[in-house]
Amino acid sequence: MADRLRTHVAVIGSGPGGAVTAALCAEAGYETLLVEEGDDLPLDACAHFSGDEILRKYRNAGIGMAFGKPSISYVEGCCVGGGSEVNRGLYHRTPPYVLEQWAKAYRVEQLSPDLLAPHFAACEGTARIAFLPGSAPPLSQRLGDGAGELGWETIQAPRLYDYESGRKQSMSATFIPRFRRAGGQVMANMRALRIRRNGKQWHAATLHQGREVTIEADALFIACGAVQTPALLRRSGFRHNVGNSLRFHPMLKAVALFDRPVNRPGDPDPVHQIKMFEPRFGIGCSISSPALLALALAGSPQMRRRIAADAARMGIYYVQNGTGHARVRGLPLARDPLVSVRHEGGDLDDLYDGLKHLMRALFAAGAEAVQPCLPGFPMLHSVDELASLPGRLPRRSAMLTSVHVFASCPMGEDRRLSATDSWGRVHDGDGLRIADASLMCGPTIANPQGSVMAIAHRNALHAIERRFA
Amino acid sequence: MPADFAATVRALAETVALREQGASGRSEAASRFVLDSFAGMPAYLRPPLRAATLLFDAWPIVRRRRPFHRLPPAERLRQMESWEASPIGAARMLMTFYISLSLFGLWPDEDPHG
Ligand SMILES: Cc1cc2nc3c(=O)[nH]c(=O)nc-3n(C[C@H](O)[C@H](O)[C@H](O)COP(=O)(O)OP(=O)(O)OC[C@H]3O[C@@H](n4cnc5c(N)ncnc54)[C@H](O)[C@@H]3O)c2cc1C
Repeated sequence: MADRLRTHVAVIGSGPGGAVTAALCAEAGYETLLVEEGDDLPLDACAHFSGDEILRKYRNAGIGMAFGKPSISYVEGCCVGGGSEVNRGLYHRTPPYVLEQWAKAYRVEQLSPDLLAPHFAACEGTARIAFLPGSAPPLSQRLGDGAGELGWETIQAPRLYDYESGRKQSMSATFIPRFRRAGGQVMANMRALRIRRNGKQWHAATLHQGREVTIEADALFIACGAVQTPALLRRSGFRHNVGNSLRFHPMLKAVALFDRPVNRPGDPDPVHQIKMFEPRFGIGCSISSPALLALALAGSPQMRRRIAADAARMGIYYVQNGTGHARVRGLPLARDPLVSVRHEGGDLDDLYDGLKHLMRALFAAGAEAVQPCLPGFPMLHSVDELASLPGRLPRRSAMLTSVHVFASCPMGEDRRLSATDSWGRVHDGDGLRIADASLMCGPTIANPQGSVMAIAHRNALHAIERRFA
Repeated sequence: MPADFAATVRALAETVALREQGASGRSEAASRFVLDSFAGMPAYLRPPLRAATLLFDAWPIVRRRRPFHRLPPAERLRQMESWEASPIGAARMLMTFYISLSLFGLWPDEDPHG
């Protein structure tokens, strides 16, 4: 390969934000390169949620840490298609109240639910969403039953999933083939190190199989995900509100042991969610293979001992909210940025309250025992034992986990808060654009991939209409 | 008998496997998963983790004249459990890291999800 690649448009990062953007640019007739640090692997190259997948498709073997009290361990995808290749594809449009709040607080132009609706619809036309045909698996149904007993509402979330063919609607199965059909080129195993303006062009210095390759582009989109985008921008000298406001959906988990089998091999992914308490907290259910049960119960030996005999009666459930405000900073000579997080007391208290709500629902669903997945916490045998738990979440020992990251470079016209304008153009960035989860103005509350795609779609069309000015 | 990083990881995975009832995976697969995860983790985390692991390995040398990875299984288990319950947060975190990854590697996940 040549040391220099010339193109009209370069998009760095091939997750949902980058893939949607690149497909639209290529279809508009622009020569487009989609640059991805990770491998280009088929969707079924490794079993979903297996160790093999974690090592091959996740960034840093699935080890990411935001240091704080408590710390948040987070994961990101790192392969062609980004997080969409490894996620469960639970799908929601951004809740209207969230969009209204962002539009108001950050002064984002034209971000009403009505104006975003066609962009959601357009993305859903390619990355198709579906409700589970037939009844939900028992592990999922139990959450619905427990909530029902308590008078709470549940929903069954649709997924980016084709239940007929049994295939996920990830980017490698949807927008990336569309991009390729329009003549776009994917460059996998190519990491952008730095970007700079050179006359009327953007130059991205990249590393490809140990060699430096410079990409020269008339227009440049950064879509490396909410941690790597601010890291790349800061390395390249763009710092205004970049990497100061990273947010998560931190989770606490509980494992329930039921009277009857709920967790059968080959069952579809669970889909029940309790959303009525959002944004204080939301509740859902997880895949509960023996390996994931063991991981969730790493600090809870009593319940873990039951896995060998009783995995079929066990299920993992979670509660999440938007606690934690984090900063992304480069470290001298280090490839990965340092992420530090601080929490506001109220949000952590809400999350802990959510865990107690979750455990009430599990007992109401007939659980014989419930184990909060927090080190040192006892296994509970009745709802009355909830009263014996500490009054507050232990700040030092609690470990939160998150699979959602966003909001590190928020958009909007309020320059005191935002890193880009309402359309993803970096302030004073000479037309440089961001096109990923970094642009969100806070937690999406709902599962974020739909929001990332729709906002990327909206902003890409805006850029194309203006010929990237 | 110097401290040895890879041997310590293997010994920790064997100790977790010994304690775990019913896990069908093999400790070799678990330690390979832990070593691969270590190799893939953010570079700036590796030196402190390696240093802490070597300290853990060297800990029994003064009293037992052997590093952790050369101790008999029961003594390994005792040391692992005492660090797991240590009042020092960093010691507990080190054990959480190794035990979690070893557990994940010990319980293979063969069923398809969808
Ligand atoms: C395990 C897991 C489960 C999830 N479950 C759900 C779910 O059920 N529903 C939902 O809506 N969302 C879910 N998510 C979140 C969802 O996947 C993300 O919100 C979404 O992928 C974000 O898209 P993005 O384009 O911002 O970034 P990403 O998907 O993170 O993509 C960024 C891409 O850029 C690449 N990159 C980074 N830096 C560079 C560089 N310097 N040079 C070149 N390439 C680079 C990365 O390797 C990556 O492939 C989940 C995520 C994970 C990890």
